[in-house]
Amino acid sequence: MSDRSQLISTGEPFKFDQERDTEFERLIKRYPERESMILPALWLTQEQEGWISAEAIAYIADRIGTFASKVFECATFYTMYHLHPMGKYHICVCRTLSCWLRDKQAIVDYLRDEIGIEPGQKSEDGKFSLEEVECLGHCGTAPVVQINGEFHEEMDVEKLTALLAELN
Amino acid sequence: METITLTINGKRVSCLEGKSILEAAEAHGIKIPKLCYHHSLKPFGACRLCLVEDEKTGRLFASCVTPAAPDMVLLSDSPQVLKHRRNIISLMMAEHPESCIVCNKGNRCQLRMIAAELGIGENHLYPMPNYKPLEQANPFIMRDLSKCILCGKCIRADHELVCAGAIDYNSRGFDSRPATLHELPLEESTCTFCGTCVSLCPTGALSTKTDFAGTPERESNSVCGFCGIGCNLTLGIAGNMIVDVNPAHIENSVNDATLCVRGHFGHDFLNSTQRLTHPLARKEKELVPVSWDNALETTAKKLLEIKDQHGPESIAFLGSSKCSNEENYLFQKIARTIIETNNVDNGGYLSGRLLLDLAEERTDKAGRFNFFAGPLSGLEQAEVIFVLGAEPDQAAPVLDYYLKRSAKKGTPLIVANPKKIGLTTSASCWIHPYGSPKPAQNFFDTFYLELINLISANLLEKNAIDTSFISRFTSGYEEYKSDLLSLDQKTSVEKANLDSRSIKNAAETLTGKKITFVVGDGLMLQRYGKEAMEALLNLALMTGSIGYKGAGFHILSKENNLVGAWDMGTVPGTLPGRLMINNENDRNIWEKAWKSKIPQTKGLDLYQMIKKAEEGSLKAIYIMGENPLRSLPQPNRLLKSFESLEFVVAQDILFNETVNIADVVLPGAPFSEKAGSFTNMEGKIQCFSPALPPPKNAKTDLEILGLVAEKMGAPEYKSNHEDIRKEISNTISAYSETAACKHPIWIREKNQLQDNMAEKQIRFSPVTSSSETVCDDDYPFIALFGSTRFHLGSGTRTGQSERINVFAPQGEIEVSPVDAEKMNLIKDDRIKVTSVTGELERTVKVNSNIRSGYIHIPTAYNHNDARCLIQLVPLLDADSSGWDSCRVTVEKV
Amino acid sequence: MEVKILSAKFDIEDGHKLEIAKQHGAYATIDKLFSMKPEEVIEEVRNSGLRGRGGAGFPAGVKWGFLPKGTGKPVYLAVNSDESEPATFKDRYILVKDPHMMIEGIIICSYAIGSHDTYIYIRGEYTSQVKALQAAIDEAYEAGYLGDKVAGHDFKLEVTVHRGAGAYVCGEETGLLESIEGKKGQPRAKPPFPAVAGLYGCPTIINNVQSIASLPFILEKGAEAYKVYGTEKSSGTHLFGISGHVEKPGMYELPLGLPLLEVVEKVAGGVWKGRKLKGVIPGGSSTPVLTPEEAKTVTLDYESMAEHKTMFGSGGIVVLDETVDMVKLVENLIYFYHHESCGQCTPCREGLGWMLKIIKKVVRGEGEISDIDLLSELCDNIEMKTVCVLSAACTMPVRSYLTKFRHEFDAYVSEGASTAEANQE
Repeated sequence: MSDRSQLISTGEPFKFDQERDTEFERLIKRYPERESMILPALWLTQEQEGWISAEAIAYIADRIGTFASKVFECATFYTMYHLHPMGKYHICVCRTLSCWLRDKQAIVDYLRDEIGIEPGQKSEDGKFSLEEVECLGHCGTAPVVQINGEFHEEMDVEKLTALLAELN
Repeated sequence: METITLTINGKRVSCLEGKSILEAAEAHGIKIPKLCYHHSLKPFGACRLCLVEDEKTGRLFASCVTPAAPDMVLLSDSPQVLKHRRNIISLMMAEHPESCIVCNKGNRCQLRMIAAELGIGENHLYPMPNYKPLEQANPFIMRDLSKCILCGKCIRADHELVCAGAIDYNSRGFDSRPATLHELPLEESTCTFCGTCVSLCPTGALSTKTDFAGTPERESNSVCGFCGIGCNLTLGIAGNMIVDVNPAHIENSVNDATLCVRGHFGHDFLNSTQRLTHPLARKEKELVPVSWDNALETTAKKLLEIKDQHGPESIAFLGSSKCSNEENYLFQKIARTIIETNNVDNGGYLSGRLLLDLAEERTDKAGRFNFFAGPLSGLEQAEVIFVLGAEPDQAAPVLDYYLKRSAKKGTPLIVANPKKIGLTTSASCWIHPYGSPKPAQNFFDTFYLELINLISANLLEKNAIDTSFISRFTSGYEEYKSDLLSLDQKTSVEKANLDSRSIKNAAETLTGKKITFVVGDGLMLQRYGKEAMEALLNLALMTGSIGYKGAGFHILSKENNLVGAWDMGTVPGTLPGRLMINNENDRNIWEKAWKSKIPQTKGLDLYQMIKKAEEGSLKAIYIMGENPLRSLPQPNRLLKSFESLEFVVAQDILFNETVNIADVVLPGAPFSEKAGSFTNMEGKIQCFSPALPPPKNAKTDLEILGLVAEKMGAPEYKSNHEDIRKEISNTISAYSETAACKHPIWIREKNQLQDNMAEKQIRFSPVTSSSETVCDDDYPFIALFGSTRFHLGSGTRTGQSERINVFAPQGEIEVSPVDAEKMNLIKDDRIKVTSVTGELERTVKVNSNIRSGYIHIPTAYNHNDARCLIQLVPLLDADSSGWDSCRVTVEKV
Repeated sequence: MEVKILSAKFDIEDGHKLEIAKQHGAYATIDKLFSMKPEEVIEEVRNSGLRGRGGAGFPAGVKWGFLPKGTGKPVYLAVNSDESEPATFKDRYILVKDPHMMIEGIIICSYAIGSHDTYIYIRGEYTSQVKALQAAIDEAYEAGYLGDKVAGHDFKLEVTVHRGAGAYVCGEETGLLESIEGKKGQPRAKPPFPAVAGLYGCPTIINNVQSIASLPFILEKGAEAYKVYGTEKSSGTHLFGISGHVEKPGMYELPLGLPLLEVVEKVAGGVWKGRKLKGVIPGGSSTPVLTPEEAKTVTLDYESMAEHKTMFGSGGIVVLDETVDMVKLVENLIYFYHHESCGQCTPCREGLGWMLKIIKKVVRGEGEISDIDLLSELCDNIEMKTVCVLSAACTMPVRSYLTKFRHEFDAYVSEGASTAEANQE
C-alpha cells in the first residue's frame, strides 16, 4: 500500500504463537540455508497478526540469524506484506489488462463511493481497506476482487452491493 | 587454469579462463566505463554501462559479469555501444539534481566524469530530479539519496566486505533505494561508520562530512597509525591539511577497500589545535617556547649530567609502539650506546607484550613467524577460528571484517568472552561464564585458563591430536599428557563457572582441525594471562596448529607498531632483531655493528621504571610518543612518581597529560608527516613517505633524535630513514629487504619456516591450574574494561578528533537490565564506580548483552579515567588482579 | 476442438483428492518410472517435443540435459507456479483441480534429473490455491508418494511449497531462485545458467507447472502418443486462457496449431456484444499485439507466432474489441511493468520510469509528437540491454502498439485527451 518504507512499532514484543512456531520449525528443516525462511516467516507473521511490525522484523531476523535489514528489504520488496494494519476486510481490486478491459474501474469507483476511501487507504472505523493490485491471475473471470485472500470473480456493481451488505 | 584469447577492439587479448571480459580488457589497457563494478565486490551487472558488442551477432554483453570466452570478437566503443551508454547516462542525469557546483564529490564524481567523456551536455530528457531529504546529523557521513544511482556498491560493501548489516534496499523498482532498517538515520542503525561505502560511492550520494568542499589538490598513500592492522590509506591533501582519507588502491593491502571509523574519519586529530608546533621548556614551573637549540642543548646536557652523577641506570627511555621502526631503532641505540643503559621499553608493555616475550621464548628458535599466523588473508583458509578475549569489532574492525567474512563462508568460529561481543552472533559457539559473580570469589580471572585446559583435556580424551607434529617438532608431550589427564575437570568447570556442554561443543568443533587463534587483551591482561597463553600454546602444539598455512596465532594488537618496536629492541631484554641482551654472542653482533659496548644486564621495564622512580633511584626519563600518564593504571600514583624525577623529556605530537609534566618538550611528527616503516600485527613491514611537512617548528622524530645525539657528542647518529633502514637490514635478516624498498610501500609476507622447525624442538609447558582467589567482599561487581571503535588505546589521539568527540563524547557505563532495575537506574543516570584504587563517575546505559553482576566500562573517555580503578601491579605478579577487569562497587549518584 | 489430456480429471468431482484421483489413474506411471533408467526418461521427454509451458517454449528434455554430471552437489527442481504474466491463468487450474498430476510429474522429473528436493514456487496471491496444493502434498506424503521412499522405491523426495509475496519478477527463473533463497527477487546475470549454478549455487532445473503436469501422460502413453497432438515442432496440448472481450472467456485445453480466430470464434464465442475485433494479444501481455488482419493467418503454435513477429508466450489470449483505447491500454501495461521492475539495472528501472512519465503526459493530453518518438526510442534503448527480460516484456508489446496504432497516439497529441477519448466511444 502507500508508504512502504517505514515500519510501525507496536511497543510490544513479538513472538510466534504455538502453531506458527511449530510451522516455522517444520519449514526451516526443509531449506539448506536459514535465510530461505525470510519469506515464509514473514507470511507466518502476517497470518498471525494481519501485518508486520518493526518488532516482528527484529524477531524474524533474530530467529533466522540474519540482519534485520535483510528482512526489512524483503518486507518492502514484496508488495503483499502489509507493513501497517489493514482493515478488517482488505479488498484488493485487480487493475491489470483483462480486468481493466472488463471495467475494473466501475468496481473501484463503486467501492470508493460506498466505503468512502481511496485505493491505498483504510476506512476510519478500521473495517475496510482498499487496494488496487496487479494481475491476480483470474483473467478469464474478470473483473476480480480479492477480499482477505478470497477471490470473487466476474464482479459487477450488483454482486458487489450484495457482498458489501454481507460484510456489513 | 587455461589461458584463453579473444579480440577486443581489434586487439588480441589473453586472460585466464573464468575472468570476465572487463577484467581481460582492463588488464590490457582497454578502458570500459562502469559505475557498479568494483574489483573487491562481486560483479553485479546493474548499471549496464560496461556493455560491449559482439561483433558477429551485434549482441550486447555486460562485460563485468560475462566470462571471457575463446575467440570472442568484441567492440567496447562501437556506435551501438556508445549510443547505449549515452542513453544510460542520460537517464541517470535526468533524475539527478543539478547541484554539481556545490557537491562534495566535486571532480571525483564518476557519473560526471563518464558524462563528460561521452560528451553528454544538454539532456534530451527533461530533468525530473527525484528529491530525497538530506541526512547529515552524524559527523561522519553525508547521505544525499537524491544523487543515488543505485549502483548498489554501498549495500554490497556492507554485506560482502564489512558485514555490518546496516543498509539494504528498500522497496523495489523506481522507488528502490539503499536504506537502513526502518529508514532510521545511520546513527540509529548498525552502521559502524567505517566509511567503506563513502569511498566506493561513485556520486555525491555518500560523502564525507567536512568543511572542505571540492577536490583535494593531491593524494598521497600512507599507512594508518592507529591499530595494529596497518591499513593502507590514501590521504587527500589541500593546502597543508589532510581533508580526506580513503582506503588506498594497493594490491594485496590488508584492508582492501575497507577502513574503520577511526581510520576514515578520526584523522582530523592531525589538524587539532593541541598539536605541538614549538619546542618547550619548563621555566619557573611553566612550559614556555624555546628555541630548538636551547631545547636540544638542555636535553643533552641534563641527561649526560645525570648519567655522570647517578650512573646510566638512573636514566630510562620509553620508546613508542606508535613511532616508526627507524625511530625506535635509533632511540634504543642512543640509550644503549650513548647513555649506556638497557632501561628501554615502549607502550607495548601495556598490550601484553611480556606474554608475547614468553611465548616467543618457547617457540623462538623455531622462528617467530611460525608462531604468528601471518597474513590475515589466511583467515579465509582457516579450518576453525578460536577468538579469545578479543573484541575485534571495537579494537581492530578490519580484523573483525575478516572474521565475519570467514564465518559467513562457513568457517566454524568459537568465541570465548564473558561479554557478548559483535562477533558472537557470527559464532558457532560462544563460551562465557554462567551466572553472576559469586561473592568474595574473583572467578572471572580463571576463566580463560580453565576453559583452555578443559578444551585441551576434551580433545585429548577424543584423541584429537596431531601425533606426527608432536613427534617431529615438540618435546615434553608425555608429561603434558599425564598432567592433562589428571586434570580435575569438575573443579575446573566449577571454578570458572563454565558450562561443560559449551566446552564439549567447542572441543567437537575443534576436533581434527588446525586452529587459528585470535587472542586479545581480555586474555593477555588477566592475572592468569601468562598461564592461559602457555596453555594455549600447548593446545596449538597438541593440534599441530603452528607453522601450518593459515593456522597459528593472531595477537590482536591495538598499537600500529607494537611488533616493530619489539623487533627494534625498544625493550629491556632484547636487542634489535630479538637478540638477547644476556647472550654474549647476540650482544657481540650489535657491539660490532655499533662499534660500541652494550651493557650486559637486562634493563628496567616500564613498571620497574615507575617503581625505581618511586624509590628515588631513577632520576630521568626520555619519553618518545607515549602518554603513560593517560594510559597506565593509577594515574595519580604515576603522576607522583614522575614528578619526583629530576628530568623528564617528552617528544610528542600533541599536548597531553605527560607533556604537561615534562621539563623539555620536543614537537615531533605523526606518520603523515615523515618517512619510515611500521610492522603490523601480521608481521608485515610497510614503508611510508611524508604527505605533508611537520607544522611550523615541529620536526620529524628521526631528525630530533639525531640532533639530540649530536648534542651528546655523537654527530654520526644523525641520519635519514634510508641510512637507518640500511643499518637495520644489514643485521636483522627479517628486515633485510627493507633497505631495498624503492616503492613507498613494501610488503614482507610471512616466512614459512616449516622446514626449519625440526632444528629446535618446541617444548610443552606443564599444565597449570588457577587457584581460587578470595577477594574483598565489599566489591560485588566485576568491571570489564573495553575499548570502543571510536577510540584507540587511551584516546590521546582520537580524543582530539572533533568528529569523534561530537559523535561519541561520553563512554557510558553499561549495566545489565537486572542490575539496573535493582538499583533503579535508567539511561543517562549517573553512577559512581569505586575500586580499591580509585573511583569515577559516568552516565549509565542499560544493555541486555551485559549479564548481572558485571558492568562494562569503555576506556579512553574522560582522560581515560577508567584506569583509576585498576591497580598498577605487573601482570605476572602473583597478586596481580589483571588490567582488563577488577572488582568494584556501583552506586547511583 | 477441445481435448482433455491435462484437464482430463478437471471435471471429476473431488478429482483433486488422492483417493478419487487414483481411481482415475493418478500415480499409475510410478512403477514404470522406476523400471526405467533416468536417461531413458529424459530421452522419452525429449522425443515428445514437450516445450516449456512458462512462456519461453524451450524444449524440456533438452533443458534437463544441460545438468552437469558428477558435481557432488545436490540437484534441485524448482517448479514455477508464479503465473504472474497478465492474462495468464492456466496453472492454477492444475494446482486446484488435479494437483496429483503435477506431483506425479515432479516425481518423474526428479527421478530423471536425480533430484531429491523440489521447491514449488507459488505466487502469493494464490491463497486458496496454495492451501489446496499443500493439502494434496500432505496426502501424497501420507500415502508414501513423497518422503524417504517414493512409493516404496529407494528414492527420497521432499517437496516444499514456497510462497511468493507479490512480485512478477519472481516468475523469471533466477529471480525465483533468489526469492527461495530468502532474497528480493532480483534476477541474476547469466551465465552461469541455473542448470549449472542455480539454487544455493547447485545445479537446478526450473520448470513450469504445466510442463511438469504433462509428464505423466508422456510417460504413460509414450512420446508418440503426445505428438499426435499439435504440430510437428509444437507438439502436444496447451491450456489456453482466453480473456478480454469475448462471449465465453475461460480456460480451454487445445492442441497446438489451431487457427487463432477460429478458436476465438468457436471456443470462446467470438467478440462480445457483436462488436468488431480491434486486436488480439496472443500469449500474455508481454507479447506484441496482432491486428485483425494479422490474426487471420496466425495459428496457435510457436512457429506461426514467430512468423507473425509475435510470440506464443504463455497461451493467454486477450481479445480487444473496437472500443479499446490503445493509448490507455499501453498506459496500463507500462504501469504494470514499471511497478514490477525489480530496480536492479539502470535501463529497466529508469527507462520504465521514463516511459510511464511520458505515457501519462500523453494520456493527460499534454504530450507532443516528440514524446511519442521518445517513447519508441526508449523502447529501443532499453530492450535487451538489461539483466533479465522484464523490460523487454514491456517494450516489445509497447512498440507493437506504437507501430500498429500510431494514429491513436498522435490523436491524443493533436486533438487533446478528451476528443481522442470521445472518438473511441
